[in-house]
Amino acid sequence: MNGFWLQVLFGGLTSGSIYALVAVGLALIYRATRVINFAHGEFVVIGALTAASLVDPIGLPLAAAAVLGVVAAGATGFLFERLVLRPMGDKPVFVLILCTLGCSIAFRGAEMLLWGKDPLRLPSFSSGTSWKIGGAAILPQALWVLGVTAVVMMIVGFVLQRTAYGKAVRACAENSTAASLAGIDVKSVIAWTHLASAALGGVAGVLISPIAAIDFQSGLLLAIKALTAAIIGGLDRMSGVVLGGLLLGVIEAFSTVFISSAMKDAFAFAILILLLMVRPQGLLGLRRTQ
Amino acid sequence: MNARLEIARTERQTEFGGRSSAWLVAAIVLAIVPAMLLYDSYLMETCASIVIFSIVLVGLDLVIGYGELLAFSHGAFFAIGAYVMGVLSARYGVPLPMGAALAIVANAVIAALIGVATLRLQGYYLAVATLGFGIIVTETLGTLVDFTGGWSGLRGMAPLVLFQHRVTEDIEFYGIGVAVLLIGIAIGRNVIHSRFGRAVRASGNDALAAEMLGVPTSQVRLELFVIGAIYASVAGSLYAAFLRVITPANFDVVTSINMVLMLFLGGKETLWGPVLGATILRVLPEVAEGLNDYKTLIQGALFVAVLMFFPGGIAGFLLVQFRKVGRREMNASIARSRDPQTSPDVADISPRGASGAPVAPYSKSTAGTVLRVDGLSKAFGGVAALDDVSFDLRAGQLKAVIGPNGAGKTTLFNLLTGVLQPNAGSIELFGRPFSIGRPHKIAREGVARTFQTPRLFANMTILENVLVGRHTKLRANLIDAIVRTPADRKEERTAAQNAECLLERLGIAHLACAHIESLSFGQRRLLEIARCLAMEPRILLLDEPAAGLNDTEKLELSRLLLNLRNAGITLLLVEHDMRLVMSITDEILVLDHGRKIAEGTPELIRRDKAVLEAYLGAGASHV
Repeated sequence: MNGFWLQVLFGGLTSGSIYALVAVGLALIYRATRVINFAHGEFVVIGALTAASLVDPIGLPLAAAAVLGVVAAGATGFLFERLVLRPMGDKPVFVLILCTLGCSIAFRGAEMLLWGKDPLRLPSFSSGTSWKIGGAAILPQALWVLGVTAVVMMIVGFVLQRTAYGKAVRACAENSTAASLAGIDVKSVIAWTHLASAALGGVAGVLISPIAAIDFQSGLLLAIKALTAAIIGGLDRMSGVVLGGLLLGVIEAFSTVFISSAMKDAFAFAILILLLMVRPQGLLGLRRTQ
Repeated sequence: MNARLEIARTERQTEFGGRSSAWLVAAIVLAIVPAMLLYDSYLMETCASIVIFSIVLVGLDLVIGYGELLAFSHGAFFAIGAYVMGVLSARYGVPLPMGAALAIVANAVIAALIGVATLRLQGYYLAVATLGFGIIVTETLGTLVDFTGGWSGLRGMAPLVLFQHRVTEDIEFYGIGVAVLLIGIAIGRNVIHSRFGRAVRASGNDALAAEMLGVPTSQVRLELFVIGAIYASVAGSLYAAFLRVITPANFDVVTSINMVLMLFLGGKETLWGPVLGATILRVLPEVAEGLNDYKTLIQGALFVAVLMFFPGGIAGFLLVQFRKVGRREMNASIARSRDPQTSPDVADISPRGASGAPVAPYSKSTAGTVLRVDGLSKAFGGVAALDDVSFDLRAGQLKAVIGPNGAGKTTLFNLLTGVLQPNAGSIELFGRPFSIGRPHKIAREGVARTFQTPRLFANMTILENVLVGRHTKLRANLIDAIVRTPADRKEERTAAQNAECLLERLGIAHLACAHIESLSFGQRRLLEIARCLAMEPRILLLDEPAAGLNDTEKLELSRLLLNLRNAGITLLLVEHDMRLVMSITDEILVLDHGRKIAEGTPELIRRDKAVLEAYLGAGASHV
């Protein structure tokens, strides 16, 4: 493989990691509550723009700004659950989809008021020029993205598989009524899951901010993309969701080279529609029973 | 009976009266608002665009409101309508009306293709697939610069010429828009109150129940989706002619979402409600210019607030006020009509009295087999719900399937109606092998079915529920629905009369125009059976018809079932009430843990050792 293709692959994996982080957050909420949150992309935007604005006009150190960005995203997610989703109760899926879409629009409006219309950027996490790996020029920030994503995924996997909280989330996913009968505080599990999921979105925003222009309009498309990734991989399996995210990033990177950068979203959705026709449960998804 | 028919008719007229007053309100608003703004050209422009958006919204109301298909592709169809006409005019000099017609064809074809690909998905999957389609269309339009002019916009469209007159003024576009909108609402209303429209609402409310009544739900959804796309196409063409310069940004995903917001704000399932929603959303920023920066925030927050607190939107709120008055009048007329002679008279269906002696007893020797089940098995993830079950159902027989909970009775019904596919074994219906396929085809063969808990269409009146059952017996197609041909009117009238007679025979005719919520549980059962009878079924499957009924209702039910059998319908019922089963059935099939353990006349089953053991445990037969 020559350097050019390696570089394209690397670029794809970098944006794929971001999709994976956002998609894992979406899938967590889906597993705990059977709701897909179309406003989820806004947590990415809030994380990125909070951190960037704390560094630039305010002058906080990068690390502190990054942490506060993640905290801001998590707190927004927590409030979002408490103020919007919880009062909605068990309204039909139809209404919940529309409700989260409406919230996405409201968040977008609020972000525009807070941070203006132009994209904000965080400085790169480490200075220095790009590294040469096998003839490909790799930005240090891309390595940050890949490294942090890998660590976060391991933490998420560990928490879900090994801790009491993770077991509670999985119990809620199976059957929330039974879980509550078994003494699990379903409401608090759901609240914490929203906080964690939004914080994951914030992490994605902070990581990608130095290399991608994030502005108030970025959220909705990110959410739809992440959902596409999750569906491609299979919504009900975390490994599938991560695979879907990485795959979507790589597909986009190569379609930019082979087709056109202006058509990369169109290409991704065309693949989604084709996949839904032949394998609606996703690549790694479980067959849904009737 | 005549008195009740009278009431039903007056009620329909009142309902129609209600609808015409809504029309009047809409017409007045449409006429007065621009008259007031006549000299303000900027506001006139806003009015024109409101009307054009409203045309899309009528189609959207059909798809999302009545059909409950949450698709976000209307922005794309709107764009295709605009761009096909625009590109044909700017690049090839095709006149705009011709271009608009071609755009309709293009949209219908594209909608059919996208519909086939995405409509079998539900909920989130449909939403994300159609959002994705919207993004594909805008990106494609932005990329094909040579044709569309890309993101900087398509220029060079010829002006709209109608009857040798160049249409340039905003007020002219407004006039054309209002005319198209009113035609669109009229067509939409005709469609919704037709055979097709009932199928649409039934598929949206409960697709499985609709399939069981012979409604081909996939086809209905696809046709509905194409109709919605045609509305968007017409509006898109008009919008392009009005704007003269169009860019893909006019039709992006946010536009699609905003249209849904207009629909819900105004009130779905009314056709005219969305006009209010479009007006409010377009006029608000004009009257409050200082709020421009807050526009997006307010729109989003408004959307969420409407969903949380006013699910019916503004129109829904108004209609509730209207209906409160209407309902009071209706209750009064029902009270007037009640007289002792018109109590439920199910016994009139056939000559069998309460004494229980069958007039035309079922005879084994003469009856042909209508349903033959052979070696049927079905397992769910390794657990056998039904294991090698065979039995025959002969014409005119009243047979019961009994067994403890989990014996596989409902699974059997699901297999017999095509809802589930068996793992092994065969089903023969009327001497032909069972066509494995969509449940509606089996319903068409003459198999009707009720559910353990009645599955009625809550978005329709009781009469309409019965008329959905009539679906397979009516012929009216989509064109009939749109133009209301005399033949269609006659068919609808006859169907409504038949349905009223049916309700009359079951003793619930006085409720024909009521909504489902006002029915008691027993009445819901009766209505579900009436809906099945409207199909004129040859076989009727009843899943626990007596569950939840009181003793009087049970007695009436057993009389009804015997009458149905004597009227020539073959009945198969799953039932737990042993007294009912033992007193009316010809034969009983006993299932336990998915296996057939006994079959025979009630007398035989009563003494069967295996049956007693299954019900009361081992050793019970010695007691």
